[in-house]
Amino acid sequence: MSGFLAYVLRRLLAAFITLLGVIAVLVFTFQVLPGNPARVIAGPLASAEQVEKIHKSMGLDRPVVVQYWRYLEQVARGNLGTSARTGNSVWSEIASRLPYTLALAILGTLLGVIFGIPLGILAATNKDRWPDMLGSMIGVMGISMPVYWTGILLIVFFGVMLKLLPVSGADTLASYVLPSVTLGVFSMAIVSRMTRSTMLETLDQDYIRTVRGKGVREIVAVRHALHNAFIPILTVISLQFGTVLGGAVLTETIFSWPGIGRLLITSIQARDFPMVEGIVLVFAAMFILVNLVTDLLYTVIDPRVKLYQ
Amino acid sequence: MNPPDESRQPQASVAAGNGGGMGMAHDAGAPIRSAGLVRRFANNKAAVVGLVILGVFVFLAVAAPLLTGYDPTNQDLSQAFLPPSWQHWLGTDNLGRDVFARIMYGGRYTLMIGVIAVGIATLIGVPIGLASGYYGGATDMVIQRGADILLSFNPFLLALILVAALGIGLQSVTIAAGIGVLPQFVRIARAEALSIRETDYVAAAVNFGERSAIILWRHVLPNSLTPIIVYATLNIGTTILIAAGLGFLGLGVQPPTPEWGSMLGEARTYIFHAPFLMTFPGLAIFLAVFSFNLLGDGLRDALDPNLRD
Amino acid sequence: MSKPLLAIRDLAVRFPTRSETVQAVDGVNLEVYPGETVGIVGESGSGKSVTVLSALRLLPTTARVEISGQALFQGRDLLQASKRELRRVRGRHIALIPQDPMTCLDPVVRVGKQLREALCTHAALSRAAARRRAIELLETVGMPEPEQRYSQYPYEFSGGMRQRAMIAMGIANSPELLIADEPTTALDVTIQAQIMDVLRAAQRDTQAGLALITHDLGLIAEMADRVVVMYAGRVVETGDVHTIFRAPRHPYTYGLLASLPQTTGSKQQLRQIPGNPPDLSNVPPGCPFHPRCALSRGRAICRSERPELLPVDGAGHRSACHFAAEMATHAQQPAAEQSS
Repeated sequence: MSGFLAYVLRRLLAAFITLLGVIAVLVFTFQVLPGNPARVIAGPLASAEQVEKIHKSMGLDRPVVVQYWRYLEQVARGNLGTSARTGNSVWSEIASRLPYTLALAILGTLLGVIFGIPLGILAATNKDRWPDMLGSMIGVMGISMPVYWTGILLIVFFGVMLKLLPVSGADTLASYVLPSVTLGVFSMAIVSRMTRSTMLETLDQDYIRTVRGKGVREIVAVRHALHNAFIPILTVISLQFGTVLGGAVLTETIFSWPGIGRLLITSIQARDFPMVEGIVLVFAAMFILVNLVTDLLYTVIDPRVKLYQ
Repeated sequence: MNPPDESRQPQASVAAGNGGGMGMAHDAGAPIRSAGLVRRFANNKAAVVGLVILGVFVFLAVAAPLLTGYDPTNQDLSQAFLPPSWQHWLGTDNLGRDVFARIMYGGRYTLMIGVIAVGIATLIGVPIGLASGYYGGATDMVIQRGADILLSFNPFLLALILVAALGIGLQSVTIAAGIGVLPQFVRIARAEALSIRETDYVAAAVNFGERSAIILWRHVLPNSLTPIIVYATLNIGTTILIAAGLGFLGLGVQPPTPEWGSMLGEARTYIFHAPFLMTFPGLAIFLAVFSFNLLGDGLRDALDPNLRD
Repeated sequence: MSKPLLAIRDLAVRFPTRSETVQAVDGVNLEVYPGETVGIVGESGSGKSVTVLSALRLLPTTARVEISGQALFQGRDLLQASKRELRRVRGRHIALIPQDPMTCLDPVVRVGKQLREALCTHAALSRAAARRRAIELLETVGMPEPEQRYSQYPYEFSGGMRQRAMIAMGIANSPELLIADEPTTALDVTIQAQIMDVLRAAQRDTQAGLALITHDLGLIAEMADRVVVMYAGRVVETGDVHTIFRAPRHPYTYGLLASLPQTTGSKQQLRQIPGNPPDLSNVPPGCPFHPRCALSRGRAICRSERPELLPVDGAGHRSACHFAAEMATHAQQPAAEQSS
C-alpha cells in the first residue's frame, strides 16, 4: 500500500504547488498590474496623501516578492483580506455565499451526468442511426448556446409567459430549478459528447470483440465498454465542473442568485480587488481540489494506474 | 464556458498520463491528404451546414454596408422598440437602432475577436507546447506547471480577471479571451509533441544528427498541424462565447459599438418590455458558435485517417 | 465424406465508407470438417480474418458493413440466425481465439473473471465451480502458477501468457470448432512453438475442428491437414497440405512458397512476388492476381474474366486460375521439404 500512499502524497504536493502558483498569478494580476488600486479604493475624492497612505497600508509599495509572501501568510491564516467596497472581511462575504454557488454547480453537474451519459451511450451504440443523429445534434447545440441566453430564454418562457417558476433569488426550492437547468443543459451537452466519443472508441476495441465472441448478450459487452470508458468520462466530469463553475458566474447574474459568482461581477465592477482576488482564489482552489479527487479516484477504477510512478 | 476539450485523457492532472492527444494517428510524412479530405468533408452533411452558416455570417459581416442603409449606431428614440417589420427586419432596440444592422456590423467584431483570440493562443501557445513536449526535462516541467496553474482557472474566469485587471474594451477582450484558452493550446501541443517524438521518422532524424530546432520545424510542427487546426477551429466557438460573455457583463466592447454580447446585456434590462430584443443577438451568437463547432467536428472527422467510417 | 462443420458459401463482405467501398471478401467458399485442421493462408489484407469474423458476425458494429452469402454451421446459416441463436453458438460451439493477445483482454477486469465469463455464459456454474474449472483450464494451457494468475490483471501477463489465456477461453466449453486468428504473429519465435503445442493438444483433447488463420507458411506446413489460399478477398487455391506444398497449381501459391527462404542448398537471393496486392476499393476486372502473375504473360482472359475455383488433379484440390493446367509442367518444387 505504500506505493499508493506515496502516489497520494505526490499528488497532494503537486496540488499544493499549483495552488501556490495560482496565488502568485493572482497577486501579480491584482496587486502589481493594475494602475493604482489604492486610488480606486480611496475613491475619486481622496487627496494624494490619503491615496499614498492607503497605498502604503496595503503594502503596495513593497517589491513583488514581498507582497506575494505577505499575501501567502495572510491566506495561510485564513484571512483573505478586506473588501474595499463593503469593508467586511472577504472571507465572511464569500462564506455566506459559497453554498449557493456550490449548490448550483453540483445540481448542474448532476443533471448533466444523469442525462448526458445515457444520451452518449445511446448515441454510441446506435451510431449513424437516428438516436445518434439526434443525440449528437443536441450535444453540439448544447455547447453552442451561451449560458446566459439559455437562462434568459428559460426565464422568459417559464417565468414570464408561463409564470411557473421564480426567476430571481434563492428563496424557495423552486427557485433552484431554472438556474440548475440552465447550467445542466450545458453540462449535459459536454458530457454526452464525451461519452459518445469515448464509447465509440472503446466499442471498437479488440477486447469487446472477444467478449462478444463468448456469446454474451450485447448489454454485457456494453458494460465492459462502459467500465473502460469511465476513466476518460470521469475526467470530463471533473473538467466540466470547472466549466460549470465558470458558467455559474453568468448564471448567477441573470437569476440574481446570491452566490459568489454574482459577488465577483459586482466586485469587478466596483474594482474591489481584494474581493476579486479572494473569490478567484476560492474558485481555483475548488477546481484543484476536484482534480485531485478525480486523480485519486482513478486508482480505484483503473487497476493499471497503480503502476504509474 | 467553453466547448468540451476533445482530448480523451486526464486533463489537469499531471501524474495520470501526459495530457490528451487528439487521438489521431501520425502518418509518417503525410500530414494532410487533400483529395480524400475535401471529399470526406463534403460528405459530412453537418459539417457542410456549418460551413454554409458560417459563410452567411461572414458575408453579412463583410457586406454589411451594402446590405443595409441603416447606421448601427444611429439613435432615433421615436423609433424605439419596433417589432420586426419590412423596414426593420429584426426590429429596433431601446435607442431606436436597427437591430439587423447592429447584428451584421456586430458580426464583424464578434468574428474578429474569436479568430484573433484563437490566433493569439495558437501562435503563442503551440510553439511553447511543442517545445515543452519535445525537449522534455526541466523546461517541460516548468512549462507544464505553468500551464497547470493557468488551467486551474476556467478560461472564462481567466479572461474575466485579466479584463478586470487590465481594463475593458475591444483589445482587452480579445487578448483576454486569447490568453484564456492559451493554456489548453499549450497542453494539446505538448501532447502532440510527445507522441510525435516517439515516431520512427523523428528517431531517424535524430540518428542522422539533425539539430532539435530543425526537427521541430520540419517534422514535429507539420505533423501536429492537423489536430491543432481542428482544435483551433473548435475553440473559436469558445473565444466567441468568452468575448460575448464579457460583453454581456458590460466588460467588453463598449457602447455604442455593436457587439452581440453587449447587445444581449443591454437587452436584458428590457426583458419584460420587449423580450424579442434579446432573441436575435443570442441567436446570432448561438448560430456562429454552432457553425464553428460543426465545422471543427467535420474537419476532425475528415482529417482523421483512423476513422473507419 | 462427413458433413462439414462449417461451410462458407459465396461469402462477400463490403465496407461502404463515405468516400469509397472496400470489397474485403469477394465470393469465398470454404469448409471445415470435424476434427481436421484447415490452414487459411494469405497476406495481410487478403480477407482471411474478415471472412471468419463475418461468419460469426463479429465485425465491429460501429463500421458500416454489407454481408451476403451463407455461413452454415451444422447446417444452420449463421448469417440469418437470430441474435439468440448466434449467442448460443458463439463461445460454445464455435470459439474464436482472436489476433493480438495484447489488446484482446479487457484491461480493467481480472483474467479469472474473464474466464469465468466464458464459462458461465453457457453453463450454470456456481462461482466456486467456475473458479475451479477456470484454474483447470489455465493449467491445461500450461500457465505457470495458475491460481495466482487467475486473480491477476492482463497487464501483469506477458504476451505468451495472454495467448494461453485466450486459448483457455476458447476451449473452455469444448467447442466443436476452434478458430485461431494469427495465434503466433504477435509472439516471439521461441514462444510460438509452445503455443502451437498448446493449441494442438487442445484440439486433440476436444476433437475439435481447427481453422488456423495465418500468413506463416511454416505453421501451415506443421499443423494443417488442408490449406486454403486467399488473395484479394478470394480463395485462389485449396487442397490438402502435401499437394499444395509439393505441387501448387496457382501462381500466387507458387510465388508464396518460392519466397520462403531456403536453408538448404546453395544460397540464392530471396525471391519475391513483384508488385503489390490490389487496392480493395478498386479491384481490377478479371483475375485479381494478373498484374503480378508470371504465368499470365498478359493474356487477355486473365485480364477480363474472373477465374472460377475449379478442380485440378482431383482429391479436393482446386485452383482459381485460367491456366492451372500449365502449372503442372513447372518442374521446380518451390519448398517441398522446407517445412518443420
